Amino acid sequence: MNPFRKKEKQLTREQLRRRVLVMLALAGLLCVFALAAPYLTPNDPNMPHSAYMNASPCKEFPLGADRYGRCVLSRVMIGAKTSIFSAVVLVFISFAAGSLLGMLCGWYGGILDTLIMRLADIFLAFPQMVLAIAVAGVLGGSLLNAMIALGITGWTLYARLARTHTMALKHEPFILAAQMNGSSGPQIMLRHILPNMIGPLTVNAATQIGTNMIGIAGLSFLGLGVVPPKAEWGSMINEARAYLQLAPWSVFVPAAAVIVTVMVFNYLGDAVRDYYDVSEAK
Amino acid sequence: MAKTKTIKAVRAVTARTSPQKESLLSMKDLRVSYGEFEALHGYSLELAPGEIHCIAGESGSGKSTILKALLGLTSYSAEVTGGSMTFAGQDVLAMSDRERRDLLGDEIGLIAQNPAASFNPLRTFRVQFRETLESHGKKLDEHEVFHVFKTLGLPTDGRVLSSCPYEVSGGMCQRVAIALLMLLKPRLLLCDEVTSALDVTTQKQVADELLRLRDETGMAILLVTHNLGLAAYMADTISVLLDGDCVESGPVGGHYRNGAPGVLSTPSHEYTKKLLHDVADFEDDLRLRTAFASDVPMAVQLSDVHKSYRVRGNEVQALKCVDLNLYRGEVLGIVGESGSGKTTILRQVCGMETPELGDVRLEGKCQFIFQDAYASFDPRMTIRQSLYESIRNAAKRDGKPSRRGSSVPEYDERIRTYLEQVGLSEELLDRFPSRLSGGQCQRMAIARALVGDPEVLLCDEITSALDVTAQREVVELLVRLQKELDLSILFVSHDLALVHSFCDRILVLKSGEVVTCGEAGEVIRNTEEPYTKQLLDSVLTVR
Repeated sequence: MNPFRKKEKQLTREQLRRRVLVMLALAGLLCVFALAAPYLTPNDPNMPHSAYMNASPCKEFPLGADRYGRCVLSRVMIGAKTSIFSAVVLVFISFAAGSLLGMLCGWYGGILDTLIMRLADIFLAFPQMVLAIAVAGVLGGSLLNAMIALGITGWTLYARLARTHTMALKHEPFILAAQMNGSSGPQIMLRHILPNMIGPLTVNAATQIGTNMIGIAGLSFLGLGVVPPKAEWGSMINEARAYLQLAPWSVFVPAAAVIVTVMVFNYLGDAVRDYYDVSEAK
Repeated sequence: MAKTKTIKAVRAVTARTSPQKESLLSMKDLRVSYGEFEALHGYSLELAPGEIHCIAGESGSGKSTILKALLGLTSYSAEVTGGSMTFAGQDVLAMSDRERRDLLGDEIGLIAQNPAASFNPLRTFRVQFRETLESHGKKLDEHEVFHVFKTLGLPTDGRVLSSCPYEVSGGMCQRVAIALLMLLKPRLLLCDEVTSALDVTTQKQVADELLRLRDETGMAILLVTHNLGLAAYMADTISVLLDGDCVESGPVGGHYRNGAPGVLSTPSHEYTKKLLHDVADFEDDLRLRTAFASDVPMAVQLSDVHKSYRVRGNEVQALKCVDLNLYRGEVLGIVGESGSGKTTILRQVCGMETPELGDVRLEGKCQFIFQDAYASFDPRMTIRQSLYESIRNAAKRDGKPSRRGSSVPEYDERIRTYLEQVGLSEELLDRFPSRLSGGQCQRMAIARALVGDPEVLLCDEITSALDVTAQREVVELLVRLQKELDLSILFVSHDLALVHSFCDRILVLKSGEVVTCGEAGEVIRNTEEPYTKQLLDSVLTVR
């Protein structure tokens, strides 16, 4: 008889690690696929074929063709690069900028802290997508503008997180020890504070990749991101939705691509978070 | 058995032990494993109603594992692999979760080490009392609560009941936790290191309350502690644990029982003897020299220092007119309860804060050593990296060029000499702080302090988180370093016996004011000052 029976069904650290590796491999596969896409496409993604307008999947066009007779498969493959890399770059930039600002706010406090945090509050007061639509609308449609529009609110998340972590760490004895030892502020931030909070921040960033991917696809769908004829999943769905009954494949294929990619990156984020939590609890 | 009877005769309170030899809690050959690792290799215990049994041992000896097995905490990956456990005749190990839950609280109560953590910090005690009592089918009767509060020395005007846990002190919170248990009246009380977070004065109060509670209700108490003084004061019987083995058990004995024979007065096992030897008491003298000459120059001088903090809009005077002199080569012990301003003094000395009024003078370089050694090292750096950083900072301060890189032979050479001084081996250098024992980590912290070639060491309760053996090591190390390197040391502690054992002079602090300052032996033996006397009376000693 065991008083500790009814143990919670918990994955072991090793199982969680394996999950991270599997998801990482899948995400890596997607990235490699996106990079190699120009060499793998069966057809020229931008070449219209008047004979194959809205053609159903056939030998030449494995996943059909859109209303201009362009190969859907080739366009989705080319679009992968735009979708994945714009989201990753966007997350990386807002993560770096936000963390840096948050850390400075948390460490120095005072007027700098007040200014930056009130600015963050102003951005957070708007619903993210609405503000992004407004900004992208003013700037005009392009991938860069869509990224700016999303990044303008994206950094606040990391800034607030980094600031809280810095303020908590600031009063830890090992930071006081470093201070009394003669380390300067920037030195302490770089050597002690950053390494001690990079874990939770990265975990947060990993979970944000999927969200940002949907954000960019959403803006493109509204015509505020990538503009046709450049291939991007969101704008492809938008272009094809008028012909949904005639050529459903040209909507469903890019939509499926978005769903699969976002799921892979979200699962990666979750796996990293779970693994990190277990490692921290140790 | 004969021994047990003598003790009962000496201690009137033990007479409550029921005359028939019925046992309330019985463990036979209990074995507990965490995965592959067996933490407890067969532990046996018979606990009679009204008996206080102490489980003593160092951290990691399996003390808490026994409590976990009894409570059946499911979140631990531990498993009872052998033996039996019965409570009042019922087989605890065969119980369903529900039956066990009913047993806990009604029959078995637990007071945890950190009382504040066992209450919800944001709800008032009144709400939490009502909730707990109702879940055990009782009603909250404030008159009854106040009656209990009165016996515990808590204010009875409802002020405590209306406050949240974070608004009261640690000692008060612990007494509130005891009050709640007195209302529940369990037959067995489990105390897990109840007093280790408390000051000496509060510690004595809590111990007295627990004794009175036992006398009034006849409950049995299972006391888990590494504080042998507390064990000697409270317990009837004791078992000493070493790495999951019970090396010795029997009646406690000792001077609180008129010198009756027992484990603590006449230990038979080597390990018990070592534990007893390591406890600092007033007969100990670890000093390496006979007299201290006070005609040397001053290392630290505080004159008429005032410091106050703003806490939630209220001005709190942390230091009032503090005068302090630390002579070169002297060890000065600063003693006082928590909140008396001990650490504040150190903060003024090292320049972390500046006083509002008064003058702080520090001759030479100073280094600070923290209470929590683990927290004073960056958890993501190896010890070597941390020491490198200190060496580089020291070089920068002295205007010397510092060398970059993760392996500098010149630095390794220096580190080796410091490690020799603190008596640690080099292979510990590439570990992370969490992989060191408490004593090793604190000695590493001392090594790091030495790297900066200090003349003055500021030690903030550096032994209070350590078990007695590690405490002894650290204190002996400090004494030796003081002599070899001619250091001046400010040693802050609430352990009067420890401070007396190696400090040249003692300064007693109460609410930010110096009440006594004098030669250590003089203060301990001949003080007339009432507060110092009260502190001395509260110290629980083994001998």
